[in-house]
Amino acid sequence: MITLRYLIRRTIYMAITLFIALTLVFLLPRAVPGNPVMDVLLTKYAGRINPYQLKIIESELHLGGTLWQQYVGFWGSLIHGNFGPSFYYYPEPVSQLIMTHLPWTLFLLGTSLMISIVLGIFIGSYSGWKRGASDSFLQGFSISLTSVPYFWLALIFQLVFAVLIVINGFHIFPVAQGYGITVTPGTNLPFVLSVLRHSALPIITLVITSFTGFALLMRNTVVTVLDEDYVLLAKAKGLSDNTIRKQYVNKNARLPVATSVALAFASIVGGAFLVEVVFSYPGIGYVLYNAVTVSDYPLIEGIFVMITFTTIIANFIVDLLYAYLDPRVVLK
Amino acid sequence: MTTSTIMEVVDLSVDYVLPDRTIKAVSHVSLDVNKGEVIGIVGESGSGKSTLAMTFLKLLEYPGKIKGGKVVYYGSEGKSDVLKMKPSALRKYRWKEVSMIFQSAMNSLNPVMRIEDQMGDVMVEHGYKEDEVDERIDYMLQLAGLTKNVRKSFPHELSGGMKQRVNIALALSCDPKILIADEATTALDVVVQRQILTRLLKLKDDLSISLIFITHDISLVANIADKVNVMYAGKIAESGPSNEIFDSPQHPYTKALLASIPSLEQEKSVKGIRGTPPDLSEEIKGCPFKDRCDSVFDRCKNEVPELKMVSQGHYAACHLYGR
Amino acid sequence: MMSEARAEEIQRALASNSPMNRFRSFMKGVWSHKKGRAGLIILTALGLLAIFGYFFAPYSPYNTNSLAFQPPSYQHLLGTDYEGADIFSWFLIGTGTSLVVGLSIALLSAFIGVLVGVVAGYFGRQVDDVLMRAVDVLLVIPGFPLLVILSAFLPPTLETTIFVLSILSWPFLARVVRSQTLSLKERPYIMASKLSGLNGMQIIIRDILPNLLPIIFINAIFLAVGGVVAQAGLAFFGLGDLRSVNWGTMLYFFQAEDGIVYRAWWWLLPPGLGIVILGIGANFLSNAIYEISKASKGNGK
Ligand SMILES: Nc1ncnc2c1ncn2[C@@H]1O[C@H](COP(=O)(O)OP(=O)(O)OP(=O)(O)O)[C@@H](O)[C@H]1O
Ligand SMILES: [Mg+2]
Repeated sequence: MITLRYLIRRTIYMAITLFIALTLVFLLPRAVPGNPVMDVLLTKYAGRINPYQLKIIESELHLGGTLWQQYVGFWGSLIHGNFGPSFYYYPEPVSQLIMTHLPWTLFLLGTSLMISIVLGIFIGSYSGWKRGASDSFLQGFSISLTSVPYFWLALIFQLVFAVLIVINGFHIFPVAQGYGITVTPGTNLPFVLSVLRHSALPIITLVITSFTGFALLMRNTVVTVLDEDYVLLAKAKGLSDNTIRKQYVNKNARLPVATSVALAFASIVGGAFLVEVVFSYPGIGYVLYNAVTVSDYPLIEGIFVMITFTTIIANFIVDLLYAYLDPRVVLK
Repeated sequence: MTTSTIMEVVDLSVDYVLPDRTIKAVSHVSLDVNKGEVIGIVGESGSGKSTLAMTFLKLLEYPGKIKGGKVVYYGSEGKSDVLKMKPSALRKYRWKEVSMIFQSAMNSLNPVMRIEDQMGDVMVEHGYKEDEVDERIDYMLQLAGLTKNVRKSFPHELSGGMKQRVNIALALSCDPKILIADEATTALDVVVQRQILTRLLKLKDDLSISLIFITHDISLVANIADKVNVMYAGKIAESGPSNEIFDSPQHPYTKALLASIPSLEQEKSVKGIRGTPPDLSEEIKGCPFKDRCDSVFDRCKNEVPELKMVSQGHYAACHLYGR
Repeated sequence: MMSEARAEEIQRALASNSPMNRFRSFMKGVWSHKKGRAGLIILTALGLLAIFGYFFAPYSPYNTNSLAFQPPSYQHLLGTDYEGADIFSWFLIGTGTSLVVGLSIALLSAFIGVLVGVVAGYFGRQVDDVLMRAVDVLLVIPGFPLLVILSAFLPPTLETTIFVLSILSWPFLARVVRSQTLSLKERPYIMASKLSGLNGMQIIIRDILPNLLPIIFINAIFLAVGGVVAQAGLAFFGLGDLRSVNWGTMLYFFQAEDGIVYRAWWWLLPPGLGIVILGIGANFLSNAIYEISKASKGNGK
C-alpha cells in the first residue's frame, strides 16, 4: 500500500540527496586551490578553444562573479537541464552527449541486473530447497568471485573469447565497440543482432560477478522459509512440490532479495563503467573514462549528476516493487 | 477394531534424532478413531501430542524419525498404512481424508497470498471444479463464522481470532473425514475460545466428521470428547471413555491433572503437579511418572508399567492397577 | 566446527584483561580452525611478499632495456611489458603498494565508521537521526561515479586515493556498529556501568568497543580488500597517481597500451590473481572469526 504521505516524503528525500550531490558538484572545483577548470581550459585546451569561446564557456559554467552569483547561476542552468558545453567535444552540450550514451548503459545495466536476479533466484531457490545441495559449489564460486574485479574478469574474457579462441577464422565474440562497422544504427535486424553480439561479453561479465550475491541470499532465505509454519501447512494440504515452491516458498523468500537490489544497483554501476572501458562500449562509463583522460570537467559533472539521478529513481522503483511484492508493507 | 473404525494407530514410536542426543517424543502409542467420534488427547507441554498428530499426516521432517508402528487409515478404497504411502497417494490423502488445524495457526497462513487463494489452491488440487471452488470458499468462511469479504484479505489484515477461523474454514474446505485440532483455541481469549469451540463441535455434528482434539487443558476435553487419551512423556498413561476418565480416574497423573483444574463450584484448593516431566533424551528407568507420583512404590522404580485394562475400554499404565 | 572446550578457552581469554593475552589466544583459536589457518597462511604470505618483495625484485620497474611484450622466460619470469620492463619486479613491488593502500583505507574508514556507529548507537535521538540520514544519503549515491568525480578534481596522488576511498567506505560499517551498539546498550552490565557513574565515552571504550572487536575486525578485512580493488579500479580508470607501481596501474597500462592485442596474458594475470588470492584469504579468515566469535558467545554466559 502506498500513501500520499509516503510519496511526498520520498520526493523530499530524493530532492535532498540530489541537492547534496549537486552542491558537491558545484563546490568541488571551487574548493580546490587554483580553479582546476579554468586551469585546464587555459593549458590543455589552449589551442582548441579560442579566447572568444573561452568567455562563453566561462559564463555558461558560471565561473565568474561572487560565489553566491555563481551558485544561483548554476541552479538556473540546471533547472533547464543545462550542464554547459563539453570541453573536448566543444561546442556540443553535455546533456546531448549524455542522452546519446545513457541508453547504452541502461541497456547493459538493466539486462545484466535482470539476468543476475533471475539466475540468482533460480539457483538459490534450488539450492535452498534441497537444503544445501550444491552449497559448496555456490560458496566456493562466490568466495572466489566476490573479490574478482569486474574489469579484470572482463579483460580475461576479452582475451580468451575475442582474441585467443579462433574457430574457422572467426572469433566467438567481437573485441570491442557497441556494434559492428558494417551495420547502420536504427531499427533494423542486422543492427540489433550486432548490438546483442557486442553486448554479450560485457553482460556475461557483469552477470557472473553479481548473480552469486543474489543466489546466496535467496538460498539462505529459502532455508529459513522452509521452516515456516505456512510451508508445513501447504504440505499438509497435499499440494504439489511445484506449487509449494512457487507460491509458498519463493514468493516469501524473494522479498529480501528484492530489498538487496537497491544496494546491488549502486555497486553494479561501477562495475558496468569499468567493463564498458574494457570493451570500448559506447555507454556513459566509457564516455566518463574519456572525459577523465582529457579533463573534460563539465562532462564529468554532468555524468555524475545523471547517474545519481538514475540511481535515486531506480531505488524508488525498487521500493514500489517491494510494496507490490509484499502486501504487508505500507509505504507511509 | 470395530466396523466404524476409521483410523487405527498401532504401536507408534517417534524419535527426534539430533546430532548430540535422541529425544523419544512418542513411544509405543496405540489408539483408535471411530467415525463421528471426538477423541481428546491431553497432556502437559512436551508430552508428544503434536508429534503424534503430525504422524497422522506423515508430516514429520528432519530431525523427526518414525521408529516403528503403523497409522492405518480405512478409506473408501480399503485400508492402507499412511506411513508407507507413496508420495502421490499421500498427497491425495492429505487434507481430503485428514486435515488439521495447527497449533501455530497464527503463523500457518502464507503472508503474501490472499485468503481465497490459499483456500482455493487446495480445493483445486483435490479435484473441485473452478466455479464450485468459488462458492465453497464463501460457504466455508461462513461456516467458520466469517464474512465473505475476508476472501480478499491478506493474513496480516486479520485478527488472531479471525486467523483461527480461517484455519478452521481451510481445514474443512475439502470435506475431510477426520479433523485434527491441535490447541486450536489456546492462543485466544476466553470469549473467542468458547465461540470457536462451539462452532467446531456444531460443524463436527453437521458434517459428521471425526474430531481429534488436542489440548493441555483437561477441563476442555471433559465437555466435548467421547474418548480421552492422557499422554505423559510420549506415552499413553490412561485412556478410556470420557465420563469414566473424569468420574473414576485411575492413573495418579490423570488424578493430578484433574486436581489442577480451578473450579468455580467447589471451594477446593487448586493443586499444581510438583516436579517436571522427565528428560526424553535420557533412558527412563521404571515408570516415567515415578518422581512426581504420590503413590510411588518399589516396583515403579525398576519396571515400566504397561497399559492394562481396568474396566471395559478403560486402560491405565500404572502398577497400582490391573492384573 | 569448534569444540566447546576451545570456544570456552577463547571466551575466557577474551574476558581476561591483558590485550596481548587476548590477541595470542585469539590467534590460537583462528589457527586451530581449518579455514582460519588457510586464511592466515594466505594473508601472511601476501604480507611477507609486500614487505620483502622489494628486495627480491630482479630489476627496477623503470628499467626498460629489454624487448617489449616478451612472454615469460628465464631472464623475465613473468615476461615484459610494453616498454620492456620486468613484470615480475612490477608485481613484487606493486604488491607492497597495493596492500599499504588497502590497509590505510581499512584503518581510516574503520575509524570513521566505528566512531559514527558507536556515537549514533550510544547517544541515540537527534545525533542518531542526523548521522544515519547522512549514511543513507552516502549509501544511495552511487559510489564509483562519486569516487571518479572526487579523484578528478583532487590532485592525482596515492594520498588522494586513500582519502577519497576512506571517506566513501565507512557507511556500511557505521550501520553495523550502530545496530550492535543499540543492542549492547540494553545489556544489564552496561546499565550497571551507567549507574556506577561512568560517562558515555568511558562506557564506550571499556564495555562496548571490546565486544564489537570481532565484527570490526571482520569488516576491516573486507574494507582492506575492497580498498585494494577500488584503488585498482580507479587506477584502471586513469585516476590517481599513475606513476605509482601497483596492481591497479599494471592493469591500467595493460589496457591503455593494448596488452590485449599482444595477447600478453603474462601481464594481465599476476595483478588480478593477486587480488583474487587476497580476497579468498580474507574470506577464509573472516569466516573463521565469525564462527569462532559465534561459538564463544553461544557457550558463554
Ligand atoms: N523439531 C524438533 N526437534 C527436536 N525436538 C523436538 C522437535 N519437535 C518437538 N521436539 C521435542 O519432542 C517432544 C514432544 O514435543 P511435542 O511438540 O510433540 O509436544 P506437545 O505435547 O505438542 O507440547 P505442547 O503442548 O508444548 O505443544 C518435546 O520434548 C520437544 O522438545
Ligand atoms: Mg504441541
